[in-house]
Amino acid sequence: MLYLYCLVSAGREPPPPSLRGVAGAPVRQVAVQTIAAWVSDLPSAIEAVTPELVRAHDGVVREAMRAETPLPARFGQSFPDESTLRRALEERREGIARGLERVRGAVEMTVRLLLDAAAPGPAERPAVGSGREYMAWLRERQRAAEGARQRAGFLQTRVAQAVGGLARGEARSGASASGNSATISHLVACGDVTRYRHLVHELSEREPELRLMLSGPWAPYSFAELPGA
Amino acid sequence: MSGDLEHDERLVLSELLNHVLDKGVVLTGDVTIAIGGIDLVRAGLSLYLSSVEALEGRGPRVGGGETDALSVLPGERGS
Repeated sequence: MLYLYCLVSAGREPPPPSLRGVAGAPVRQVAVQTIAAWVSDLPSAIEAVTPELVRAHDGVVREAMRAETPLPARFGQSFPDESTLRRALEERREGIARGLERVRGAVEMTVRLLLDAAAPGPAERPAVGSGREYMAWLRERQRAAEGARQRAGFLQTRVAQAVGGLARGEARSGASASGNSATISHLVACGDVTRYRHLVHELSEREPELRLMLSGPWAPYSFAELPGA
Repeated sequence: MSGDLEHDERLVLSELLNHVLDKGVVLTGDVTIAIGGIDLVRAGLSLYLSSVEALEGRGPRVGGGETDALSVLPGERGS
C-alpha cells in the first residue's frame, strides 16, 4: 500500500533517506517522466485521523518545500500498488505539470476571519410545535446563514484589497458550518511573505474591529486542484 | 504561560487540519479515511473556534499586533 504526500518535479532531489512520514515510515519517490510522487510504503491504508498523522503528512510536504514548492496531496490517499499510482500519475501528468508551474516559487498564506458571535440565529429546532413555527424557525436560520455569508464576503474583500498586488492566486472558504469564521488564502511568492504579513498586520491595526488570525507559510493546499478534478 | 502555548498549539492544529483534510490534490477517488473520523475532528475544531470567540480580552492574539504568532510553523521555509 502506497501512501501519497505530494507531487513534485522529477528532476529535483529525492526525499532524504532520514525523512520519516506517517507511522514513522521512510519516504521515497515514484517518478513518471517529468513528475514524481513522494510516498511511503505502509502495511495497510490509514483509516482514522489523528493529529500525529496529520502533522506527519504535513511534515513530509514541508520537507519537499525546502527545495521547491510541491503540490500537496489531501490527507488519506493511498494506492494498492506502485503500478496503480503510476497509472494515476500518467493520466493526470499534464495537469500536474501545469499545477506545479502555477505554484512554483510560492507559498500559501491564510487569514481566518472571526465573524460576530451574534450573527447566528436560533440554533435549536423547536422541540414540539406547529408546522408554522417550524417554517418560521427555518426562515430565521436561513436569514442568519445568509447574514453570515454576506459578512464573510465583505471581510474577505477587505483582506483581498489590503494585500492586493501580492496575491498570485486567491481562494475563499465561506462561513464555517457554525457560522463563526471564514478564511481567505493567497498564493504568495516566497519573497513576498514578509510584506504580506506586514500588510495584514497593518490592516488589523487600522481596523481593529476586524478579528483576524494569520497563518502560513503553508504548502499551497488551497491551490492544488487539478483541472477536471 | 503554558496556557498560552497550549492555546497557540491548538490554533495551529486547527489551521493544519483545515488545510490538510479539506484541500490538496486528490489523485484518486479512493480516499480511505473514515468520514466519521473527520467529522469528529471537525466537530472539535468548530467547538474550539467558538471558544476562541469567547476568549476576547486576550486581545492581539486574535486581533492585532501578534498575528504573526500563528505564522511560526515548524519547517518554515528559509528557517
